Amino acid sequence: MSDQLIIAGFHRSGTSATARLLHRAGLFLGYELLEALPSNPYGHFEDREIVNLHTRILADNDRTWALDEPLLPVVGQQRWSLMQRIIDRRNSEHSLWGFKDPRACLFMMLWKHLLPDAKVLIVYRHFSNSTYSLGQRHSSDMFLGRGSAHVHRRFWEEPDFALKMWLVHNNALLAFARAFPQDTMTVSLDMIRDGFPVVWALNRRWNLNLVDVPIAEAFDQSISVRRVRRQPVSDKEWGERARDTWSRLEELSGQTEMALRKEVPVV
Amino acid sequence: MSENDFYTPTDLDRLRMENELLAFEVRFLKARSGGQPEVAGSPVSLSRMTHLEEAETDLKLLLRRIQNSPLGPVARTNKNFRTLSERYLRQPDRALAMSPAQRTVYLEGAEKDLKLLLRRLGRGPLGVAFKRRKSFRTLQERYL
Amino acid sequence: MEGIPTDRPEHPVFYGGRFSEEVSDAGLPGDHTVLSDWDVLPAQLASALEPASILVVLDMLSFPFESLTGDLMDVPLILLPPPGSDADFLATVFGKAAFSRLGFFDRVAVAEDDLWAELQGRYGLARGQRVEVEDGRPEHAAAEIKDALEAESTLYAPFVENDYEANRYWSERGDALAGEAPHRAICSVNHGPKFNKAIHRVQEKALSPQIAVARGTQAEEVPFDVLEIGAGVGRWAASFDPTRTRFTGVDISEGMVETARKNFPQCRFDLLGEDSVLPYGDESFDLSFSVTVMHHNPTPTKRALISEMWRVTRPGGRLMFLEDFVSGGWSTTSTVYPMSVNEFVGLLVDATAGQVVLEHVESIRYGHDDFTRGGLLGVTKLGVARTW
Repeated sequence: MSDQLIIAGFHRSGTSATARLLHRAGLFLGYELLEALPSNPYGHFEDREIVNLHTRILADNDRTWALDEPLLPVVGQQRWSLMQRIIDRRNSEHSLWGFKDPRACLFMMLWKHLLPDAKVLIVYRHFSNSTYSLGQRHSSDMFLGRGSAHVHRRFWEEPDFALKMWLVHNNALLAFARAFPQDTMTVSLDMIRDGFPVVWALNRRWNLNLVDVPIAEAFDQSISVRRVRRQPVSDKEWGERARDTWSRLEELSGQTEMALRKEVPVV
Repeated sequence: MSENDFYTPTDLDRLRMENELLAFEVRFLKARSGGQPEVAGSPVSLSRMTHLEEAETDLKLLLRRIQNSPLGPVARTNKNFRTLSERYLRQPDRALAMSPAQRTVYLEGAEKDLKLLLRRLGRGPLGVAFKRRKSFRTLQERYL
Repeated sequence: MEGIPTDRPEHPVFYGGRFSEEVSDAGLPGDHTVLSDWDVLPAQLASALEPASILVVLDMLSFPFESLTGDLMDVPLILLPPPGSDADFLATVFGKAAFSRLGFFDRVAVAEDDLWAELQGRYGLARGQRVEVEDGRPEHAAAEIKDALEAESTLYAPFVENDYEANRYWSERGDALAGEAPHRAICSVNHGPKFNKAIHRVQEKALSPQIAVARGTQAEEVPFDVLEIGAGVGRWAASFDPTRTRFTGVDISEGMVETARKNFPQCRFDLLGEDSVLPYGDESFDLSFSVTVMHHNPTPTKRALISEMWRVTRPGGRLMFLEDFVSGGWSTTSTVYPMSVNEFVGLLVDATAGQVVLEHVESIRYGHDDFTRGGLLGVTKLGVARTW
């Protein structure tokens, strides 16, 4: 019997660093972990097979990773079969495995359908900093002629594009947490940086037998892009929705912290 | 045709909603058909354009890496390699000046060239060496 | 469903055939036309039926049923069997051409209860498809049928401007019209039977193949459990094979539920409470669907209904929605909350927590509208069954 742990979070939300941490702790994340390519700039610790699968399902539905509206996907039989093959190989070779891919936020229910017992670690970051980081990256890539100009331009030509992306992905995560509270742990990037013992908490909650690794080994505290000025928004309604989603995420991570406090008596 | 054969939509909301409905149906039909290539002359979808641009970028990256590797001097003696370098590395901003239709043709050419290059590099004794590199295998997986 | 009223006044058309003189001499009240057998020659039939809100065939033996094709089938029929004929005779002579083509909006005028029972059993007719007449002779039956049609066409005043409240409105409208004018209770209240049958036929053309797909490869002996939200008087129950389907319908109107139970006694119909909670256990149905229900309700109700539909559907089962996705701006006399397909999809993903995948999309165009107006969406529920 295998256990599965999926690391799910929006782009630029700390999932790469979390994946690095858990990879060092012994979580198998894939047979071929991608390096960052211009066409996949955030590709750290992403399993090539998994990313390709997600990309193909998105392409089937005439979408890219830059998704700013809810997705109700068509999933063909070929894609289901591919998912099952991916699962079968990993189940047969690893007692604990998982993957990290921000695209997975949109496909959590597909994975859950095939892996009813899979656990999910949700990592989130404030919309202001995620979207700022995204915008920075895409503007520099656009000027340097790297990657897809089409995608870069969307961040500047479509009002509130990054914010909508953040909402779509994080609302999908909230929906998953709501449907499967026993199989979800939610942490914020700030929590981990401040020392939340995520590996210990995962082991405690789900008996995953990960090796406890110091957070400093995976998280570089000096790298932190934060928006210093207020976030521009063209339609205030999106701001309201973002605030609502943020507070629901904070509520979930608050529950994670409370659960930890109950486990660790304060002396 | 009589005047009764025409109508002028005056309700913007209805137009927008109708467009959304029909676009949604077309997207579904494309997904159901397994993502068949676009019919000649039809507008290129956003996802296809993104894919083409990524293919061009990855092709340039691959050409640069070969050029800068120990294989570079040997590669430069190959006529096909010189053609690709001339087309994609020496005139990087050429595509920016093209019309949308020309640019689409150019990018589709880049995708074809990338696929051809990956196939050729993946063959023979050199192919073994290339396939050992993770990034090469990534590109093969994505485009072949 | 509210549409654009037509300019030409429609009225009942009586085909008298060999009895057209007697029918004309009967002095039927109100606006109507009487056609003779000359008037329904194939080349003339279309123009003869153009003003028809309903076609009453008083002489079945001389009527060219085989010429009723295409858009001519939009005209609802009332058939008067020849006096003295029995069910076997009717099945032999008219079974293929007429009775087996009858839909929910067509009716049969029958004096004898025994004959009605036989026809009902053979052709799966609903109780509401009977027009009761005392005298089966064409000139007398015509008068009775005309009176019945007059009673159905009484205008229904919907609600005071700006006072639309979905549950109350549909409950009251259903209670008022379900027994007397069911087609107006369930479709457009301001239009006649032809408009409503035409809409029904367009919807049926889209829905029937998807119902077959939803049933899929389930073994013959395994019953197909189906739930309809907003079932009204049960018009869609007629689209399911009663020998293989356990059909359940739910509606906000007591009047509708009562009429539905009389129409389809082999099916189950329940009253839906205002809290939108379906009175069924989790994972009870293979197919849950709604037809032109969601767009009449505000977003919180839509969300609640979708969520409930998801709950009561089995994993692997289908949810289907046939709704309007193109409408003008909200008005104070409208019963429709404008809802684009993208908005609906967002709501669907939210209400089901994304635990569905898309299986079918089809845009729907109605004859009376220049815009492509409606759509049929089908999704499959993901997950592992939690109940046996």
